[in-house]
Amino acid sequence: MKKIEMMEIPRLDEKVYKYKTKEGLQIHVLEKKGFSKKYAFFGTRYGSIDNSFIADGVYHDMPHGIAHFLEHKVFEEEKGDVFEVFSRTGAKANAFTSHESTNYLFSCTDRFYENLETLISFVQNLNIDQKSVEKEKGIIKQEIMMYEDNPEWQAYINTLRLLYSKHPIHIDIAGTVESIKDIDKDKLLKCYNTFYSPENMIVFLIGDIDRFKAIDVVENALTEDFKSRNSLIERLIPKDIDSIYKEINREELSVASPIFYMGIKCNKLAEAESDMLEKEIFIDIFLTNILGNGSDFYMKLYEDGVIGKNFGYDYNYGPGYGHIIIGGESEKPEEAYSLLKEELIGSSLKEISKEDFYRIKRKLKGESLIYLNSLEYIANAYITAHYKGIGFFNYFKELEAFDYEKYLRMQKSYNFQGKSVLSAVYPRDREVS
Amino acid sequence: MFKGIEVHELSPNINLYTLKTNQFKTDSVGIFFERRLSEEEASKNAMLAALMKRGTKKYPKSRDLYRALDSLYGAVYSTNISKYGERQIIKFQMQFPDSKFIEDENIFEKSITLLNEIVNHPYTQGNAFAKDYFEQEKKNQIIKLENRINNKMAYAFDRCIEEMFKEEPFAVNEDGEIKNIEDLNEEALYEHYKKVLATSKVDIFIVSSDDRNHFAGDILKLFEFKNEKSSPIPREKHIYEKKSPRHIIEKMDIAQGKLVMGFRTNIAYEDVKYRSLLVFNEILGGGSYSKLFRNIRENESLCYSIFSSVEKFKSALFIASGIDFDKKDRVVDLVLEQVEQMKQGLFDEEDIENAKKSIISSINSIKDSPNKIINYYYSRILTHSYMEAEEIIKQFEAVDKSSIIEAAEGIFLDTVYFLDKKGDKIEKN
Repeated sequence: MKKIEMMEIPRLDEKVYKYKTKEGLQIHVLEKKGFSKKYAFFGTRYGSIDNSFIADGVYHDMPHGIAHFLEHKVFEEEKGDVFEVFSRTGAKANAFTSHESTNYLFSCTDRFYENLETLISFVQNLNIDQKSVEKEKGIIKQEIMMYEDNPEWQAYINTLRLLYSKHPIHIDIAGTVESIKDIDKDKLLKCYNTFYSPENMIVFLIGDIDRFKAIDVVENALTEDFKSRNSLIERLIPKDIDSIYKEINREELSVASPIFYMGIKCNKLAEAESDMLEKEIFIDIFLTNILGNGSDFYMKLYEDGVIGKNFGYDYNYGPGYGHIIIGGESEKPEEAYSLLKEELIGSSLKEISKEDFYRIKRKLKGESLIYLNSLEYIANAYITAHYKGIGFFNYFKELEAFDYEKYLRMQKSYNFQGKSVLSAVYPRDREVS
Repeated sequence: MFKGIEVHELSPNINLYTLKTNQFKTDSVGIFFERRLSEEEASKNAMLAALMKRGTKKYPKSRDLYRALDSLYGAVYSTNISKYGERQIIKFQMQFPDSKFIEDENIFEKSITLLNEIVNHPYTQGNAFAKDYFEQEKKNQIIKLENRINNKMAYAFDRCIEEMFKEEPFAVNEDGEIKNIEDLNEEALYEHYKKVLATSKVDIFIVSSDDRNHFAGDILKLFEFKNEKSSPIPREKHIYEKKSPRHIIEKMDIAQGKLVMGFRTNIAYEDVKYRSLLVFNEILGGGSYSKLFRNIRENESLCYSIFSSVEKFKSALFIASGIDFDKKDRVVDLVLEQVEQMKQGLFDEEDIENAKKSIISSINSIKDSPNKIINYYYSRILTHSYMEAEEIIKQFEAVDKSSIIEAAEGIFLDTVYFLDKKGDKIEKN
């Protein structure tokens, strides 16, 4: 009998089943009765920030963008196109690379276990030759160019470049047209064999699924070659300095009106392993209180025309990095920046009333319930939380327990002085001719 | 067309559609006002959607309106403008947690009451919308329209549509036109608001796990309806004569060229051949195993993204891709070659089966999302197609090679739009 651990979240009416193979591969199943679509993810904790590492005692420094490049190549199989195999059942396959992970997925309504076997099989196998590596460079070049034409992405990536100088999070996930030139077959194989191993990977399944059957399908599809991969990995992620790299960057692109992104570095906050969630909830409440549309400050910026319709904020963290990003369109990026700076970065953080605290807590709770309607959202958030080591559903538990006194206590220990940056994009002269 | 959806005719111009399901953690409500898409009206409707989230009689300050929403467990309220063929739809939507997950049994009543407040009692000053809100939204709407150039691919798509349907209502942008918005004032817009309430056909959707048996009665009690009459909106022009294709090149300071090719299909959605056309589209450019993806991306490394899509109401098909500037002619030739091959039946049974499965899978998964249910159902109402999902799936299953070739026969290229780079880059310091 397999040892399957169950985690129940009674208030949310959800159950997750967790199983670990003897080689260390995690298989998690979230059963959602009554849904038509089923999602399966097979991911590895290997992303764009893992360029330098020691594997079994040997040091490697890989070209930027190699994790993402590898993602493209894993789809190629000896027997032919993986997309074709999936498309035979009406399934849709996809993959994405983030700073910290690479994930392969499919969704389908029919023949789930067959598709699951396909997913598990193809990801365990890398079939490449130098010719196909060269061919891929043309496709990835077009992907990089597509992002170059995206002004919001440019403003965002520039924010990371201002915040960090050493940590690789400031390097584009896809690398550059230059850096990918150095990628070859041997380097790809090295990274693949190092990071695509049972201990480093997770299978996450969600939908109307039989967990016993699914776990059997996954285990039976594991190859001896895969099971035997167990490199000792030491990730060499350079530690960043506490202060920012540079405060302001201005750029001109073909946009009609300016875009501004403000970054606040809080990598210290993300450093201590414990209480990551507590800090996340604290920051979420802190930001919503000042920047949510129920706030006076936000409404004033909007009504004074300092910020526009597009406006958002987010806190993101991971190994060695942590930052708040606030951004959108603004007719006056410098003014938006200085007003936000004044409001968010005092010598101590802004006070919050008890009434506002509970209103915001309610809002955060309700919003997360709305997200829980979407299996795709849950799947993405679940694995992201897994790589961070925090457990997706713990957010709800912690939020429920988080009280006003705790907020006040935490508020005393933070200040972001001297840690903010502005990345502004301004229009070039009138565009279309 | 969906098992479980109940239809209630509240008045000749108002229909309520309800679906009870325990699938979701939230309740969803949508109130849709149907307008005929026209240049004269588009800007006003777009401005209305923007203003209707600023304040109400009870909550004149935007901040207080949003705090009221926060207190309803972060109820999400939105107003949107959508274009369905030559209709412009003003959508008021609200989503809020189901009462069983929170400590509030009356959240449904409270939410509908707030929605009614927003739609029927906006903040006014005299016989006009509040001047400062109006001016702020006017400015922001103009910025939004100017910013269309920021998303280069979407911009190229819009431009191709504008050129292909020149002088037709379909060419009108659902977000309005800058010059028309500039001419608008808060009194005229308030006049228009009253007209919209009085003369639109209204469709209401509720997806809820609530056990109540009288949604219709509750809605009539909690929501005020002011419409008196509405006139039917005619079917769009959808048959076109074949002409030699137009080539349009525009320039912008960009890193990658954006190509959009517009075809006419001359197949109406009422025609059973429309199903075959959708299968054709899926094989040609529907996903990562389509002809275009395999040949132009995988074999030729010419692009990262390439796809095709069907415009239901106007019988058009588009193919879009981001490519190197000097590869335009080559990609156009390759695309036309793929379309030609499809017309000649150079695809196999497996392609057909795969495409059908993919489409059927999409239909089956609509019921996984409240928004998808509402939007899908609404588009069926607009096309007067009340077939059960099972029936539609059967029609797709019946599609075969000969019907696809037959559907493909009349497809022809009408417009090639290319967003090119602007001369030589001048280096600035």
